[in-house]
Parts: sequence; structure tokens; C-alpha cells
Amino acid sequence: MNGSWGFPEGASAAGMEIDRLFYLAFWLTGVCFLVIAGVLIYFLIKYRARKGHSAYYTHGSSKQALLFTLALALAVFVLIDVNLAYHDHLAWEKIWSVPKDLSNAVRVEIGPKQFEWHFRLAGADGKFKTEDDILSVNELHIPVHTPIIVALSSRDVIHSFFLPNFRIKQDAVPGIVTNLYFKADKPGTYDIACAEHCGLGHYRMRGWLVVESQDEFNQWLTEPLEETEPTAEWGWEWGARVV
Amino acid sequence: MSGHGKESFISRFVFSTDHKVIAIQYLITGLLFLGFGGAMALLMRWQLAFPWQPIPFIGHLLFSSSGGFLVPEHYPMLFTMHGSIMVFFAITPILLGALGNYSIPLEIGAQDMAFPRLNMMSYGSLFLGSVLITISFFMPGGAAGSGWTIYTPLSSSTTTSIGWGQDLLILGLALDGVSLLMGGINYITTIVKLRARGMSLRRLPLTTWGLFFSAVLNTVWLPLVVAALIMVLCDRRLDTAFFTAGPLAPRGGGQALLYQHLFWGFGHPEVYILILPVWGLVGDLLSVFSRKPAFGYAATVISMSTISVLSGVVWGHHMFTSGMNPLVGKAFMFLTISISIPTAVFFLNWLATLWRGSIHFTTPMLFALGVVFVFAIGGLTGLYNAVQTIDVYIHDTYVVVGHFHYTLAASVLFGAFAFIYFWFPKIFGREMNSFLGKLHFWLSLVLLNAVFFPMILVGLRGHMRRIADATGYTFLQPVQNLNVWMGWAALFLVGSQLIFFINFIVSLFAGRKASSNPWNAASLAWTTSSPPPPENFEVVPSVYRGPHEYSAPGSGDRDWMTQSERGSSATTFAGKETAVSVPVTSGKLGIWVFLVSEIMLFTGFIGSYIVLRLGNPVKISGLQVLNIPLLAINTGVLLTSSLTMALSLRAVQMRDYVNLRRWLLLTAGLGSLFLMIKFFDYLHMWESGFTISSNLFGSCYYLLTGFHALHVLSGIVVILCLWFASRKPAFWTVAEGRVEGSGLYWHFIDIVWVILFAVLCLI
Ligand code: HEM
Ligand SMILES: [Cu+2]
Ligand SMILES: [Cu+2]
Repeated sequence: MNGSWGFPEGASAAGMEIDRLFYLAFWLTGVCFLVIAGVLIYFLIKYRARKGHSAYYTHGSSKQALLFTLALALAVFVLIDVNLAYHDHLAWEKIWSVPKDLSNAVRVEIGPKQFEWHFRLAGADGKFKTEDDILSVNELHIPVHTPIIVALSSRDVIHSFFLPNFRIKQDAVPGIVTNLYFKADKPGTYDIACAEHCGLGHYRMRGWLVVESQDEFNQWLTEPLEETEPTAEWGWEWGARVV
Repeated sequence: MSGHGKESFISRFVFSTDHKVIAIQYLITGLLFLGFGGAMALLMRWQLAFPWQPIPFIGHLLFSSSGGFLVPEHYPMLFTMHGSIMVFFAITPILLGALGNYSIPLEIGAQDMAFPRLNMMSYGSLFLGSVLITISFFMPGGAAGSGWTIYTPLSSSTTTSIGWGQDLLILGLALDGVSLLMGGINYITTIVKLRARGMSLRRLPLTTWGLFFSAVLNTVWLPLVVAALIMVLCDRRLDTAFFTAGPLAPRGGGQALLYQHLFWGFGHPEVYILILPVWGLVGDLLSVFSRKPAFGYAATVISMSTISVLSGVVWGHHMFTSGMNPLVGKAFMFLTISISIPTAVFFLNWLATLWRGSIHFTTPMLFALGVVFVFAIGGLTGLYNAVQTIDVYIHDTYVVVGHFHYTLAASVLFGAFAFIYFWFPKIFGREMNSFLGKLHFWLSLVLLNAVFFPMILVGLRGHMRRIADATGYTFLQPVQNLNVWMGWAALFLVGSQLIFFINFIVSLFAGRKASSNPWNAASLAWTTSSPPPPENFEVVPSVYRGPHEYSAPGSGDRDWMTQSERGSSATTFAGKETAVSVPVTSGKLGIWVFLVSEIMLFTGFIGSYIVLRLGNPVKISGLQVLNIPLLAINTGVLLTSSLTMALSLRAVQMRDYVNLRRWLLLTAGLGSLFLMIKFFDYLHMWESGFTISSNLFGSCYYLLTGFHALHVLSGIVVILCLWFASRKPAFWTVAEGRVEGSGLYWHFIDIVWVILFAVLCLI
């Protein structure tokens, strides 16, 4: 379903749900547009001013007109609004409901600051803010087919962690912790972008997400750290909202 | 023409209180800024098409320091100022300022606005605002660069938004806000109070209805963002931390997202503030040029009011990715997409107005039809943004930029052009060239789509908004050729607007003389000469029918009947005739509208205080910090002054002017005593180390009570003015209204104090 609109290559099953929902909305709105534009053009041609023809005098305040209006309102409500809301609900459940079994999940803290993505993984002891935390700048590795649980908080202004190939984004706001859940289904290297204007370097606040096999991921974990800043400077307690 | 003949140029065209002259001032200001904003759009499109390349021809003039190309600091300034200028200094002045001012009194049969001098001040305030934002480009550090949304903490910290550009933009917007509020008071009061005899609500043109609703939305929601912007300014310059959180704010306590709630609480209604007059105008124009009554008039007005209400409860759709609870998000989504229902009613009524009409393709009609077409795209693309799951992907991408350019830069702009082409003959007494007008329309229609539709396409590929250079991203490699395309298309689009400007200027001086009713339109404005005399109508008209009586059977050799001709009752569309009798005076109604916006301003402040305090883990109780006995005494002083104010109203009602002056003076004196006590309170607390930047409570305390003190001060000034004026017997005829109005304001200030005192102690 990468289709004619040229969405970025999809890397997760959940992301494909969003494409599907998009196409549903596309058909619904497409039909509406064709009806409006079609009727508009037809009327413009048919009822253009000509000699000998005069306009039909009506205020459209008759009972039929009123009923027609109400019927249209109802149709729009059911066919478009309720329809979209229902499918949104279904998609939301599929995309965002965190699986029950999180024994193999990988947890990541993201603490961006102006124009850099800072990532932290808990390391061997499974606890954050300890000596063996794994820090990385602008490059995050994750294992494929594994639930990834993210907690974000900004260290200066608002940024937004955007994975176009996964069709998701989540703002990183200073002062609060926000969460994101996703799972990669296709190995590869993908862009990480910042979606919230964060200053003059916003356009180059780029990172890489490397999706790889569990073995490669384990290998990456053992590589020496690029970032050496003390871990105490950022990070937070994983609160109740984080699974 | 009595009294108008011998005025100097200055008092006639600069300090005029004539709504028609003020409208022209707004129009010219808006058009200048439209050109300015368009030029900035071109620079952005150049940068996106050819990142970091020298700009041909003008690069060296504009960016000589960098060698003729943009540097990363420039791009945020460009989109920030482009957006702010287009929305607040181009489109708003044209649609609300010019269309509103020009059309309202003429369409309802009034001689001027209810408060002509307030009207003059309203333009003055906009003018000052536009001077400030123009200056901001030349400040060290350049113009503001945090987006037209001015999101915190990017905007609220001087480490991330350096220089004075941001402050000047905020002040400029605040002045524009004040201007809009003064305009709103006038529009609402004028429409409610000054309608000609027989101009019942069902006989108002749809444009007037649209302007009415948009004035109401402005009155209610604009104060919220003004409150928020004032707090941003405090964060920047007074070292508070209302919206600054995390490491940027060492003392903590602020909430970055609170700002977004306040901003979008206004920001979403804002888009309806702009589009409502356009919807109304389109309804009227389709009717005029199909020679048919507007279809479903009542349904259209009801839809307008429904949308006005809904617009106030959907702001959360801008914050789906901010960490909002998904359930709350669902509610916002559902409310938002249900706006499609009243919108569908508009489309039905527009198309049905054309149905079996006799359609004349004049320039204003083309633009009105253009609105129907581009608003279909703009409205339908809005649905994608409203669906939560889809929005998580397309939020802050070019899909959004494309969507709002279809609604704002296409629909609202076309509405503005339709307004200008339609009203030009009335305003200036000359006709615009219709060949050039049509050429302008067709070029704009094609080129608009050539620029704005590709925006949606690149957005679907994930192109983030507000980025200066897309070429660095793997997933954006395929969009670069579209970015180049949009650069060229934008150049031609902006270039084709020159046709309009040339047409406008040449027609102003050399256009054919216009008759009083060149479009054979039926509303009141077209029954007076073009341009109208200073008092608008030679004879104040009476109204006998609705605004859209076209092709009525039996209207004789013409196919329209103006609202003010008597005609035989057989052809008169039903609709109750009302003598205008609203049981309040204009002055009082104006005060009430003003108070509504004041209430919303304090709602913004007090609401923020509550949210911030409840969210702050550091609990400081007002009872411990504040000097409660002193404040209690002060409360007593203020309440007493309410009593004396009430007594002065009683005195004026009993025509007892001696006592009136006494009570007024006493009220002002008590007000001053209150301020003095307040001052000592401040002085004492500040010296004991409790300053505006000590902690969150301190910031809130000084902000809230300081703002209240400013209100007391202005109340004292008003009362002293009354006191001075009351020496002259001439004043006595208007005394009761003035005293009552000032009294309402004074009591309001006192009530606010009581609420503040309670909230500061209890929360
Ligand atoms: C002449 C045609 C126009 C072109 C080519 C154009 C182009 C652009 C571009 C390239 C951006 C920056 C997008 C980004 O980097 O995120 C932008 C932003 C914007 N434009 Fe326009 N624009 C035009 C007319 C208008 C008009 C008439 C309005 C009127 C209301 C308008 C309102 C805005 C707003 C509100 C923004 C957002 C600014 C921000 O992100 O803070 N534009 N436009
Ligand atoms: Cu960013
Ligand atoms: Cu909105």
C-alpha cells in the first residue's frame, strides 16, 4: 500500500494502518469533492445567464428544502463523521495498545536538546540512571519485531520525535514526560526527524534509527559509548504512566 | 454635507471618524502588508527550492552580510513574520477592518458606527502595532523567529529567542488585539442597535451576519491569547517562569503546554473569525449574480452560529501529539469533525442558490465561485488533520501547511478579493477593469492550486513544516523536484497579483465612473450614491423586505427590488418588520461587550494561575506569604468605593449634580487609597525578598494584582474625567449613561479583586 501518494516506505505494520485509514478518508473526501465540483460546474454551465431565461424565484425555505438539509446533515454525520471516528478508533487500538507481554521490550529514554537527539538505554541491569546506561547521540539502534517503549522529555524547548517510516511522532516537552510505543517490522536504517520548530537548527535536527536483528543489536550495546556526559544530568523516574 | 466641507486633509483622511474613511485606511494597510507577506513567501520558496543558494537580483540588497543568501537564522524569521503578518496585518484588516467598517453601517442603514471615535482609535491601535512589527525587522538579532504560534518555551526564553524582535511582535499583536476588540465592540453594538426601521434580523445581509459572529468570537476568545502573550513577555523580560519549564527554568513551576491551550483557545476560533465574513459574502454574492434569493437563509445563519459555538471547543485538535490523553483526543476529534455538518449545509445552500439561477460571471462572482471551489478542498483536507491517528503522522508536516493555505491563503484571500472587486465602485465611485479582474482570477486560481496542492503532496511524504532545507533527509529525496516546482509556481502566483495591484491603482484614478448600483444589487448600500455622502444616506431608509429579492414575480422591468422600496405587498418576502427596540442604550451595550472581553482576559490569568498552582509540587500558601490584614483592609476600601459609585448613580438619577460630583470624587479617592495601600504592600514584600521572580506564587501574585491595579488606575482616570466633565451643564444630558457605564466597569473591577483575593488565599 505504498501507493501513488508516495508515502515514505513503511517499516511497521501499525504504520500501514494509518495508510489504510488515510485511503478511507481519501475516498470519502474524494467523493464529496467530486460531487461538489461536479454540481458546481454543471450548474455554472447549465444556468449561465442567457437571453430569454430568468432565474427561478425561491428562498429555499420550504418544508422540502428543510428536510433535504436535515437529510444531508444526517448523511454527512453518519457516513463521514461516525464512519471516520469508528475507523480511527479501530486503528488506534491496533497502533497504540501496548502488548501485555513486555518481557522482551526495549525501553528508551529520549532527551533531545537543541538540534540533537540524545538516547539512553538502561544497560545490562535494566535500570536507568546507573553506571552502565548506554548513551548515544543522533543514532538509535533497536531490534526488529520487539516492542519499543519510549519516554521523552526535552532538555530545552519543545521538540517532536518523528519517525516518518513508522507514521508516528511524539512531542518531547520540557518539564513533563511523554510516552510512545512502536514496533519495527522491517530491518533497515530510517530517518529520525524533528517535527516541532525548535529554533534555527530545526531543519538539521536529524537522527538515524537502525532496525536490526537481536544479535546485531546486542553487539551494538557492547560498543564503546560516544557520549560521555554524566548520566545524572538528565533522565527521570519511570513513572506510573510508563509500562 | 453640512460641516464636512471645510475640513483639512488631516482631519478628513487621517484622524477621521467616518467609518468609510477608516475602512479605506484598513484596506490600504492590509494590501501593503499583503504584498510584504507575499514577498517573504517568495524568499521562503526560493530557499526550499534551492537551499542556501544566492538569491538572484535582490539577494545582495537584502542579505548583504551573508553574501546574498539566507542563513539558518533567517528562515524562521521569514515564516514567523510571513504567517503573523498575513493573518493579523493583511487578511484581518482587509476583511474585518475594511469590509466590516465599510459595509456594516451601509448595509443596515446607519449613518456611522455606534462609537465613531472608538473606531478611529481602533485603526490607530492597528497602525501602531504595524509600526512595531515593521521596526522589529531592524532590531539587533532580527525579527521574531518562533512561528506565528509563538510556542513556549522557545519564545519565552531569551536564550532561545534572542533580541527584541520577539517582544516587538508580541506587542504588535497585542495592539492588533486591542484594535480588534474595539472594532468588535463597535460591530456588535452597531448591528444590534443602529439598524434602520424595518431591518429585522431576518433581513440582514449574510455578510453582516458573518461579521457579527466573527466580532462575537473576537470579543470572547481574543483576550485569552492576549493574556497568554503578556505572560510570555513577563517570562522573557521579568524573569518569571509561567511557560518555561525544564532545564531552561531553574526555579521550575511553569508549564509549556498551558500556553498551547491558551493560544489555540483563541487560535482555532481565529480561523473562523476570518472565514465567517467570507462565507457570508459568498452567500450574498452568489445570490446577486445568480439573480436569485440566497437559498436557505435561515439554515445558513443557524449554521454560522453553530460553527461559532463549536469553534470554541475544538482547540485540542492542534495538540494530539503533545502528550494529550487519547480519550480527550477522541472527544476533540469528534467535536472537530462534526463541524463538517454545518459546513455541508453551506455548500448545499451555495449550490442550491446557483440552481436554476441566471448566472453572471462578473469578477466578484468569479472570486465567490472560486471560494466555493477552493474551500471545498480546504475544508475536506481539514478532516485528515482532525482524525487523531492520521494527524499523528501529518501533524506539523506540509499537509497542514497546504490545508491552511487552502482555507486562509486561498479561500479567505479570494473572499478578500471578491470584497474588493464588488465594493470598489461603491467605495471609490469608479469601476475596476473587468478584463484584468478576470485575468487575475484565472491566473490566481490555477497558480494557487499549483502551489498549494503540491504542499499537501510533499506533506504526505512526511515533509516537516518550518524546515529550511529538506535535502538532508533520505525519505525526502523524492520531494525536492516538487519543491523546485512550487518555487516557480509561487513566483508566478505572486507575480500575477501585480495585475490586481495595477488594476486597483489605475482604476482608482482612471476607472469608469460608477453608478450608484452597478451590480443591480438589492441591499441598502446600493441605494445611495457611489461613493456615499458622509452621512451615508440622504434620507434614512426604511426596510420592507429581505436583502436578496431577485427575480421576484411582479417586480416589473427590473429583476430586483431594493430593501428600501415600498413595492406592492404581494412581492414582499415575509419576515417580520421590527422597529428597532433593544432595551439597552448603545453605550451600555458597548460596555457590556467590553466587560465580556475583560472577563475573558481575567479568566485567562486566573485560570492559568489555578492550573499552574495545582500543577506545582512546591506548595506555598498565600495565607503564609501575604499580608492578609492589610489586604482585607484594602478589600474594604474597594468595596466602599463601589458603594460610593452606586450613590453617584443614584445622585445622577435624581438630577442632584452637586452630590454626584461629591460621590464621584470620593470614589476616585477611595480608588487611589486602594492603590496607595497596594503600593506599600508591594514595597514591603519586595524588600522582604518576595519578588516577581522569587517563585511561581510570587510571579502570579504580582502579575494578577498588578494587572488589576492597572485596571483600578484606568477606572480612576475614567471617573476623574467624568468629574471634570460634570462641571458643564452640557454634560448633564448624557450624564446618566456615562455614570452608569463607568459604574459597571468600576463594580466589575471590584468583583475581580474579591475573586483574586479569594483565589490567592485559597489555592
Ligand atoms: C502567495 C502565496 C503564498 C505562498 C507561496 C506561501 C508560502 C508559505 C510558506 C512556504 C510557508 C512556510 C511553511 C513552513 O516552512 O512551514 C508559509 C507559512 C504560512 N503562511 Fe503562507 N504563503 C502564501 C500566502 C499566505 C497567505 C495569503 C496567508 C494568509 C493568511 C498565509 C499564511 C501562512 C501562515 C499562517 C503560515 C505559518 C507560519 C508559521 O509556520 O509560523 N500564507 N506560507
Ligand atoms: Cu525541531
Ligand atoms: Cu483548529
